[in-house]
Amino acid sequence: MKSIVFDSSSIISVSEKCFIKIFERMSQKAELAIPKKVEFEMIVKPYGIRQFELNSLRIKMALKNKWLKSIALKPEFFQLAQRIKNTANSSFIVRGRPFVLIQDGESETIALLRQLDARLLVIDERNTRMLIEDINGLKNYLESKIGPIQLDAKSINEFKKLTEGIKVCRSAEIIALAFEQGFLDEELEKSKDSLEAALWAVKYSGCAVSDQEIKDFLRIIS
Amino acid sequence: MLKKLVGELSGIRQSFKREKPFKLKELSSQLIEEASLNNDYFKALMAVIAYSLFKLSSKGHIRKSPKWRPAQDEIIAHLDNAIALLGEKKFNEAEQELHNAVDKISRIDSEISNYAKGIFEKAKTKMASSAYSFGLSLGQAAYLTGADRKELMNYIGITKMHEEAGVSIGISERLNSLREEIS
Repeated sequence: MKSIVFDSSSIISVSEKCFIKIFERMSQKAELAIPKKVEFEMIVKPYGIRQFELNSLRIKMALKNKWLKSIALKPEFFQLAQRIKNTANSSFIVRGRPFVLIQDGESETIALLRQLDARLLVIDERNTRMLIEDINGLKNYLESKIGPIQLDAKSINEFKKLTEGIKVCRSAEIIALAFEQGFLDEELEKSKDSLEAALWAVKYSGCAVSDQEIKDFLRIIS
Repeated sequence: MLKKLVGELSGIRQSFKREKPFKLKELSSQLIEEASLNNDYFKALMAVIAYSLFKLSSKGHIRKSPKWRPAQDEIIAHLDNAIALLGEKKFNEAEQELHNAVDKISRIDSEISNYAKGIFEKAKTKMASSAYSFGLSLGQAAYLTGADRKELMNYIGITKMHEEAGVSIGISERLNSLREEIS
């Protein structure tokens, strides 16, 4: 069975809109894994904040039922996570200083993907996704917001090597696939309206998907 | 650097005392930009305070409350203490005074406001979304401002921010990658 590794943003987007059972169906076809750090971010940290407890409890249930598996990094992969974070965070120089692009949660997610020899990362978070897929696109986007950025070629080359071959998708693709494969049939009528509503729901939960991409999903899936 | 920081905190204090809410809003924007670019937790806290004070001072029903003036005086006293401590390079003590100001903001807000969710919590989310727009990751923006990550995602989700970053890989390719993994 193949493994798919998730970061917290994508799981939160899906579970926030009550689509957590998608993971039950997906887990019959692939191992859905998260690093311990992500479990902490999603369950331990928000627990006790009334407003967020419900979502934490849903995710806790998914872990208890083994739809999602929280996996500890082996020491060498924990070191790899540190290397990934340090490399990413020294790639862009803004006003003479390294610009912090990612945190432990993201770097540990990538390291876990390597530990499991997986290739698909599910992440809604913009920076990590664009760093892996399109460093120049991220540079151009950030320059439009904060001004000139110098690139540290050595760090960028190393980051590219560390993340080579990784494929990325977001919670929007998870929803579209779930719709396509009938994972949502018990909850939603299989119609274009249902898919559109579900995609807008995850967009409003923070999934980095554009209006145009939602239109494209409807064209491709329906 | 220290002189600038003292000047910025004094600016918050003056704008709050003179009841210039839009100046406070402007200061919060400048501070969160600098905090984001320099990963500066102290400035991020100042930005969140400035934005909270903007929200408090721009609400008529709060300003009309008899509890408002004493609360305003108390908040100003904490800001004065923080300014003095900063001048003496006592950063930890200055930060504690800012947290005391936050406690007072939260108390007056919960006593007078019509909303169950506090102004300070909302201000953290608002400032975190600005930090995200300046290029910080979700996690870093939440960490810097103390905002809740999920709350931040919900806030960003209803903005147009995700229209701006462009599309690096088409959805067909992403879907195919996903299909391959669960086939």
